[in-house]
This record gives sequence, structure tokens and C-alpha cells, in this order.
Amino acid sequence: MPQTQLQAKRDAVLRFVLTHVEHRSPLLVLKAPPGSGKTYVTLRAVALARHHVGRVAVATQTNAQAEDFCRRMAADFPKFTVHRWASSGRAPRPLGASVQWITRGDEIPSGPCVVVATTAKWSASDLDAIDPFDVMFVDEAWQMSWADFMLLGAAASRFVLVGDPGQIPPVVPIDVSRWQTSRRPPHVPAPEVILRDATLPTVQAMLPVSTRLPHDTCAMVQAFYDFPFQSWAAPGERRLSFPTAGEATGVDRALDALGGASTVLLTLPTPPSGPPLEEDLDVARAAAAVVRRLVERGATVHTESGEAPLLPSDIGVSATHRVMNTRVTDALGPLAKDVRVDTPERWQGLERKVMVVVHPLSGVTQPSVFDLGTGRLCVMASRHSVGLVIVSRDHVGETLEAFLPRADQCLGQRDEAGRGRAQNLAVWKHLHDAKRVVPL
Amino acid sequence: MSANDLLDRLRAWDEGRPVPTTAALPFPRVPDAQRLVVAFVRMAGESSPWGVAAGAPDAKPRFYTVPEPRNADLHAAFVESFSAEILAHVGHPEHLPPPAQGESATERPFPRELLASRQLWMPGSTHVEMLHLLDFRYTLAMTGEEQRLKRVRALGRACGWLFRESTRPGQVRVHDATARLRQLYAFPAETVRQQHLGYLLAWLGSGDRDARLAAAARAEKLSVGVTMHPEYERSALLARLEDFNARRRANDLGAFAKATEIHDALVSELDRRWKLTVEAIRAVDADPRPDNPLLPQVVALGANECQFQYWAHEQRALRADLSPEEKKRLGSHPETDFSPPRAASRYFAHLHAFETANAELVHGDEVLLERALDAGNGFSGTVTAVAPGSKKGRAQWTLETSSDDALRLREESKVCLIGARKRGGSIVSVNTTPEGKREIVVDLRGVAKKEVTAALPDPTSAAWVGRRVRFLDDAVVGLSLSKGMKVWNAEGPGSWLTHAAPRPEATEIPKEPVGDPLSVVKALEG
Repeated sequence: MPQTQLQAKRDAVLRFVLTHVEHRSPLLVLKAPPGSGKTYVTLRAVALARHHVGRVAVATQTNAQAEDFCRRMAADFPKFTVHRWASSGRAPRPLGASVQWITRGDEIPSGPCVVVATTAKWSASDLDAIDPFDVMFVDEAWQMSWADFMLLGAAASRFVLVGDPGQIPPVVPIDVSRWQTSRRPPHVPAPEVILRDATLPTVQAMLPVSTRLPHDTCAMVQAFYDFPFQSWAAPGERRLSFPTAGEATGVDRALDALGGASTVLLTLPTPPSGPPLEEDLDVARAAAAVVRRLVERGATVHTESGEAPLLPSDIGVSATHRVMNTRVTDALGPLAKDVRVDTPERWQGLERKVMVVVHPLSGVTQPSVFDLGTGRLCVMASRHSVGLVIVSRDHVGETLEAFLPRADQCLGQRDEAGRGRAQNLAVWKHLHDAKRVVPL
Repeated sequence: MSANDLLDRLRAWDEGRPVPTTAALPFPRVPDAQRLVVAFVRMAGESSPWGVAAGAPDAKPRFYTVPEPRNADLHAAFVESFSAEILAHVGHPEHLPPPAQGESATERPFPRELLASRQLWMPGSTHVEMLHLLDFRYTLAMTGEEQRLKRVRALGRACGWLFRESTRPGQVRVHDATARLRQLYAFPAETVRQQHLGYLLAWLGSGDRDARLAAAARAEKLSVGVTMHPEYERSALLARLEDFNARRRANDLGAFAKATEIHDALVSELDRRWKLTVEAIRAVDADPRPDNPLLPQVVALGANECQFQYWAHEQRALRADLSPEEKKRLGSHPETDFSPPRAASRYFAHLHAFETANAELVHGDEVLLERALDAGNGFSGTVTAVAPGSKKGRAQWTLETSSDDALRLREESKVCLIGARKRGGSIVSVNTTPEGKREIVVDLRGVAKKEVTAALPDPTSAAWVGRRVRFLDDAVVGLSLSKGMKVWNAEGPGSWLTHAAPRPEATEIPKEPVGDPLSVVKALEG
């Protein structure tokens, strides 16, 4: 689809959201695929709400997200003062001339204002002592459980929930079977609970275009979403190239493959006794080797904006286990200073030109419902704007084929394990069918 | 299975006996008077019990059976017959010794001392699940003689609370004996075989590996779950049951004799399950490991649960001024918490229990500590520099640790000093030195002067340099508890959505369009 049409589609959704904010719709849920300009839309909706409505609250899931939001608000709408409400133990950060750092509830103005804080801060504070807000925007709302959202009912009368439904749901470390059939299950992401309830006056919108993801990645990650979206980039428009031919190694062959498509799967043989459970040193070294060779070979990035050399800071690495990330960091040596290595939870909202990720099922031979959750894989497979190298033991396809989900969920509930298996398998098969698999 | 679990199992096989997996017991050992051992059997395909054995471990069990468990009236009478055992143990206000001051059951204060440490022991998970099934069947019982209904409903609610309590992380009231043994020892056997209490106890017996293995293989031939061996049920019970039913239909007094025969056949099965549970308790009692010294907080949390999730509801249920409709709403529904605030509140309570148990017990058990460090939830290292911290009184320590160690912590992770939990702070940075060592910088809170000792100098003191210290992830405890209380607040402006409160009047929408919102926003941009 031509970019003019994509732009028109995007503007139509933005106009729809702004109109509802302007007309004080009580409840709006905005579904946003990766890199679709979620924050761009939210910033504009916040500015409009502040202009027309008055008191605006913003709830984010992490301090980093709150501060990033404040920075962007200060850059795009410097005429509005933004109050960053943080805990007293957090050292103030420079966020822009129009951002005021506050730590006490009585510092919040009583008139029109924009106050940004984490969900935890909103939940832990005595909101009865603060004048109610006209509207609250909840960023990354799919990361917030319904139970946590309930606490925000004390803050505002209207809500706009924005987030990526394909991403990682709230971490629940306890057995929640007691509440599976509850009318509003406390552990389920808040927007899901809201969208399940047909009696609520919910307005729903979906952002239609991902500016971040390359064309063929959109097709791959579409498996994780229940609504369609398209890539801003044309097929083959974004790619990597290298000034010299690579060596005859799996790593270089995988990198060369990024010249023709955005995603490649680099596989390591699975030992007969099975892969190491959590800390797989060979996989960590392979991931670090991919990063090293990208830098050593002097990769060039081709996008619709032109050509540019790939810098170490343009590369990111992600593995689901923190111990694996530590191993990758160790293996990167001096490059670790510039290459961000982190878990998918912390990668949410961020992007790099090239990502190197360890497949979440690489070390799993008997998947649990948790393992089969696709949120982590979805996040890992949607942080890049040009290239993605997935590093994995080669058993994953067979493991998924052999795994028989038990469907032991409560009656009427979704078969999470079966769904997770199908989606994981779809991605694995997609890469195999597209001949995007390179053995190490 | 984690790598540690696998190693423990291999070590157990090598040693030919179960090996301890903790340095301390994660639940308290209490006098037998505080314990009730309960075992069930049921008819194959039925969800309700056919017989129950109950009693303190140092006494003979009492057996209750019903000849025909599919007959609703007979079953209700049977349930009523053993309800007093359970209700007295769980502390139902009408089943406790009378209070000294002569208060009525509806007025007496919660007898914390009496009930805080009570424990219910059962052979395995299917027996614990039977509590849930009794809850389902009797909490909402609708028909029957009034006094009986009152008692069986009370029994249903008690079983329901005990079942829910069994799912609360770290709880120390309802004990699945099989799970407790697995928690204390690594057994040299496949996971699926470790679901059998007799099998585990045989491994805990005496002799070399072959002798224990043979004893375990013999033990697992006898069923210990709530379902009896099909062959036994067919041979010892089926014909007697048919005979009983035929005689009962014919109003033949011989039915009583058949009922006695059925009772005797069930007793032998119940007795084995009950005795195995007592044997497990004795194995726990004989264990040389100490109880975890940090259990009191976990026990206190359990006592609060007993008071507010069981006792308070039961006491209210006894009030004469409540209508039957009001009484219906007391306690919890067997299926789920349908009320959103209640569901959220209980969810937060379980989160709090999880956080408390994890944060507390790890500091009282050196093996758990080592495992936490192994898993990367902490680190040990040498202090190489002490500098002023981010605020007055704080100190910034630079530590050198091995880069071979796993590490899950990262910048901004909260940590505390092992051995001095009040000494804590947050990680500022994690870097790898050119020599390949890992360097971690921690910003430590200041401490009061009274907490400074020769062994634990002020964090800003240079005396720390050169000392080897260990830090552990310092989880925040208490936030979930506070959320669990706040979530009941239905007064907020958004409670129409969060608490299903009536929706406020809709704000009037301007009739004239203000203009294209895109242009308005464009004009607002800087």
C-alpha cells in the first residue's frame, strides 16, 4: 500500500482518538502494534485533554517510561508544564525545562495540569487527598493487572488505556486458579477485562501501521495479534549490506541473509542429552559473536531514509533469563558498553536497528504454559527496524510438534497453552518455510 | 526441574537415600494437640467421601463412613457426624471451649493463642482437594432439616476456607504430607512416583539403596489417594453395597449388618492412609534440622487469615439479627470470588503471602541463601572502595565479584546485606573490568548510630574495604498488603468502572464542533 494511504489511515485513527478525548468519552482502549506511534498518539491526546479538559493524569508501568514520556512531552508541547511525580527515594533527573519534579501529593496543582507517575506510585498514594483528575491515560496498559487498575479508580473519572496486546502480560508469581472464572479476574491485563465486558461503554481503536517493523517482520508477528496492521516500509526497502564477503561460518552466513530479508534464525545443534536448562554458554557466545561480526564487518543499514553505517549502539541483545544476559554481556567484552543487553520486559517500548535475541524456548524441552506464553517472543521479535537474528538450539520445532497441550483451563477460558504452542510453531515454521534458518 | 533439583536427585541416588534440601524446616513443628490428621476414601467416580479418618497423631483415629455415598440423605448424615471434628479443629466459634469470661460465641474475641498454630495434616493432594469438593457440595446446601443444614453448611465453609488456605503461598496450616516430604528431601526417584506417600516413607526407612528401593516398590502397590484400588473396591465392597441397597429398599433390618461390613472394609483403607500420614509427621518431628527461625512472621500472617477469612465470618453467621439473605453472603463462594474487589483483595493477599514467605525464610536458611546466590538473585564479592553515596549518610561501595557467577540483578535492583538485612540499598552499575572481573557498585542507605558495631561498621567506614560480603535481592514486602486494603475503596471518581458503582452524569458534549482536533493539536505543539 502506498505510504500516502498508510498516512491517511494513521491520521484517521489519530483523529478518532482525539475526537473521543475531546468529547469526554468515558473509556477508550487503544490497541497498538509494535512501533506504531503509540506514544506519539498518547502525547497528542494528553495535550488536547490538557487544553480542553483540564486535569490530566498519566500512569506508566515503570519509572523509565514515565521519564521518557515527560521528556517527549517537554519536547513536543513545551507550553504545558508537566509534573513528574516520583518517590522521594528517586533522585531527580533533568527531563526538560517544562517538567517539574515533585515527590509529595500536596505539590500537585489543584487546577489544570499534567501529572505523570508510575502505576505503583498512583496505587501507593493517598488519592483521596488529591483533587480528582478529569482523565487518566494508562500507558502500556496490557502490562497492568485488573487488580492494579482498580486502585486507579480513585484518581480519575475517565480513562484512556493504551498498549500493545501482543506483549508481555503482568508477571503473576502465584497460583491464580481460584480467580480464573471470576467476573473480573484480578490477574488478567486490565484492557482484556474491560474488552470482555460488553456492558461497559468502551470505545476501541487500533493503530494500523508499524513504522518500526520491516515489511516481512510484520507478516511474521501478525500471528500474535487479533487485528491487522501493516508496515510503513515497502518490501525489501530495509536491509543490511557488508563491504566485504563474509567468512564461511554460520554467523557470517546468517548476517549475509539479512541482505535479503529482515529475520534469520541461527541454530545450534541440541546435545543428545538436551540443551542446558537456563544458562547456555554456547548460545550466549553465539549471540555475542553475531554482534561482534556485525561491527567487525562494517555493516551498512539501508532504509527509506538512505544509508548509514551500523554502530554498536544501534544493536541490542535480549534473552529471557537475566543470567543469560549476564553471560552475553560478559562475552561481548568491550562492546558491552555500547550494546544494550536486557530482558524482553525491559526492552518493551525500545527499539534498535538490529536485534540479536535468544529464542525463549531454546533451553526448554518440556514447555509449561508460562514457557508457551508468546509475549516475550513477540517483544523480542519486534524491537528491530532493519534486522533480527534469532539464536536458538535447533530442537524447538520438534519440541513444539511433540508437545500436546492439556487444555486444563477452566470451562469457558482460553486455551493459553494450545494457543501459545500454535503461535510459537507458526513463527518457527514461517522461518523454516521462508528458508531463513542457518545452522551455526 | 532446576539444575539444583537435578543435582540433589543424583546425589540422593548416589547416597542411596533421600538427602535434605534445606537447612531449616519451612513450617513449624507443633505439639500433637495442635494437629489433626484427616484422610478420606471415596467411591470410584464419585466426588464426595465414602469414609473419613480423623484424629490427633498421638491418639487413635475415629472413623466415619456412609454405606451408600450416592444417597444424598445418608451422605448428609455422615458429613454431619464428622463435622464436629473439623469444626472444633478449625476453631468454629460454637465448637471451642467456652471462654473464661463467659462471653457468648458471637462476642468472644478471636482466640489467637489457641488457633494460630493449628495444623491439618492430610496424606496427599487428592485428600486436600476433597476439602474443596465438600465445600462445593455443602456450603450452598439448600434442603434438609434445619439443624443439620446449619452444621453441614458450617462444615462446607470450614472445608472451603481450609482448601483456599492450602493454596496461599507459604501457608503453614494445611499440610499435604507427601508434598511436605518432597519439600524437605530430594528423593532418588522419578517425579511421578514421588506423588505416593508410602513410597517416600519407604525411602526414608533404613537399609541400603536396594533395600529402600525394594521397600518403596512394595509400598507403592497400595493406594494412598482418595480412590481405593479398583480390585479392592470390587472384591471387598461392591457385593456388600448391592446387598445393603437391596435390604434397605426392602426395609430389611439386615441392612445394618451390611452397613457395618462396609464400614469395616473402609476402615482398613482409611487406617492405612491415616497411619502413613502420622508416620510422615513423625519423620518430620525426628528431623534434626531446626525450624526456620524467621517463621513467626509467616505464622502470624496465617493467624490473621484464620481470623479474618474464617473466624470473623463464622462469628457473624451466628448473629441472630442477620437475615437468611445476609447470612448467604457471608464467607466465600466455593467456585471463585465473584465480587471484583473481593477477588482483587484476595489476589493481593496471596501476593503478599508469597512475598513475605520468600523474603523472610531465605534469611533463615543457609541452603536457600546459597541457592538464591547460585541462581543469581544475589552476589558475593570483596569491597574494593567506599565512597560517599547519593545522599548524606549514604555510602557507595564498589565490589569485585567473579564474572563466573550467575547474576539476575541489575541497575536499580534493591539489595540487602546478608546477615544484616537492615543494611541495604540499590545497585548503581554492573560492569566488566578489563581483567574480566565483574564490578558492582551499590548505593547503601545510612544507618542509625546504635546499629553500628565493631563487626558492622558504618557503611561509610573505610573498614569495609577488603571485606568479603554477600548481598541478596531485597524484595519489597507490604505493598501488596496495602493494595489489598485500598482496593475496597469504591468512592473514587472512576469507581463506576473499577467497582461497578453507578455512573456519574454524562458531561455535556459541545453541540458545535470545536474544529479538527488534528489542527488543534498541531497548534499546541512547540
